[in-house]
Amino acid sequence: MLEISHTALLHALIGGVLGSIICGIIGVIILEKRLVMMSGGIAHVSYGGIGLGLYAHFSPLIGAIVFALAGSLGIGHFNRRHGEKSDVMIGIFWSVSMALGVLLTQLSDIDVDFDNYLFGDIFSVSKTVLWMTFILALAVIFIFIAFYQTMKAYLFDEEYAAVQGIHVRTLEIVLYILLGLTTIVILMMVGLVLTVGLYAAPAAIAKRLTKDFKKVVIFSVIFNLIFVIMGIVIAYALQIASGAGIIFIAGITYFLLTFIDDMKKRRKVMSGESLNA
Amino acid sequence: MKTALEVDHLTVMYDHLIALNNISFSVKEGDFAAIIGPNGGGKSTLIKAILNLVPVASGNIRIFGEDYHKAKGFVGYVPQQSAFDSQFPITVKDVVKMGRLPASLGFFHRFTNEDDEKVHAIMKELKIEALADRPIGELSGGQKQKVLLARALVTDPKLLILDEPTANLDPPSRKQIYELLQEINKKITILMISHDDEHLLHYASSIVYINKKVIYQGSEMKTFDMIMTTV
Repeated sequence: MLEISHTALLHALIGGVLGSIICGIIGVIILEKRLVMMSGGIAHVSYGGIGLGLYAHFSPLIGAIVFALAGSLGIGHFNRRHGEKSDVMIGIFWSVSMALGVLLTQLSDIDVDFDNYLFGDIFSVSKTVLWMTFILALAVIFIFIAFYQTMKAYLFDEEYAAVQGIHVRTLEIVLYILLGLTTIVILMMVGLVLTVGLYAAPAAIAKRLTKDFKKVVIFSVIFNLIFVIMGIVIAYALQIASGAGIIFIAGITYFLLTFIDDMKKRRKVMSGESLNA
Repeated sequence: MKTALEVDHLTVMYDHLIALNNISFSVKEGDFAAIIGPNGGGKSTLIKAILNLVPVASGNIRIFGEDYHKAKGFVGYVPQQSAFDSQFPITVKDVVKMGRLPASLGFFHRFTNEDDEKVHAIMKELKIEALADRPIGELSGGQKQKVLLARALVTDPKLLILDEPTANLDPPSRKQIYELLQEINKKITILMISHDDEHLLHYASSIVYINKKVIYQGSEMKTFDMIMTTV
């Protein structure tokens, strides 16, 4: 049982709202570029940085950021060069970095609660992380609005965008940097094991509800807000860690909507068949 | 008559494998050029090299006498349908409009009235204006192909490059696309690759057969047939 103060709740809500905006936008980009598993890889790679920070007595947050950025750009590079063959490389990279993190954490003289990193605890978010999240939210919103048209073209048909002379590589590098930084923010909220769920579920639900890209992004942000705030409220009420609750609600909503959607489609097909009969 | 495309001693390699070996050919302005050849013969690599999507090991490519960076404004491209995500949440009108994006990062880019008018005109010409607000994922294969064609034509290209535009289409849609291309060819030079040799050779005015190197280039169907029987 945790004891959560009002200040921790306030920090959690502010962080949750900012994180939801970031995650809602980046989640759609990740979903469209099919980078969901890569984002899971980056989250795990960042643990190497946390371990290094704990072992070498510098901020684990700095270590996580450096490893996440290196992981994001490195995995992105492998992806571009080797396409689907990069799978094995990413998998090994992912586990080796995670193993390094665990090794260094155990060798360090600091007593660490692994659960906080693995499953997240938004109630222990520090002011530094809140400021970082605020600046990242501003950057993500600005970049998304400023490059909205070219980003959309890049996500829809990367090859054609390159033929047109759109600076695809620059957009890609910006995307990977944002992905690395966003992963750290989400890691603080839901932990590295659950990161993929918060990226994928709200964006996937939004995509089921509309065929308009702008609306997909807006819905994705709204669903993120709903899941994160509900998760925080439940966690506060039950005095438990937040990560699992947030992801559980997001996942159940996704499965429920998918089930309803499939039932509707099946009913439509069956009524069409009975009309033809 | 001007030369629309000149490929001069082009070699392309993937790692250490030769994809195209020292190939040379040219396409005249106004031609409907068919690039044909076996699977793995380098047809798609050739198009990617022309469009500057893969690095060239040696040789030169000139489009209306210019290199790609200077000539890209003259070039329209229709990729294979598999190149894009057909479930992407976007309408037909927005896909066509993408053709009008500038060659840059498009910082706070806004489309102009001129862009809207051009998009509308092209969609009307290709008879897809009724599809304007439909999501791309809801269209048939033939309709999607017309949308990609409209996106390429909206920049008024002088050279239109198409990569397997009739792949996976039913025979009536295939015929419709060829007839449309024949009409477009009255104003624009066309370079097209396809597996659908029978139809393509019927509409094409010149042929380039490649299998890592140029086996035949010309417009004489009889000579082409004779060479093919010996390959």
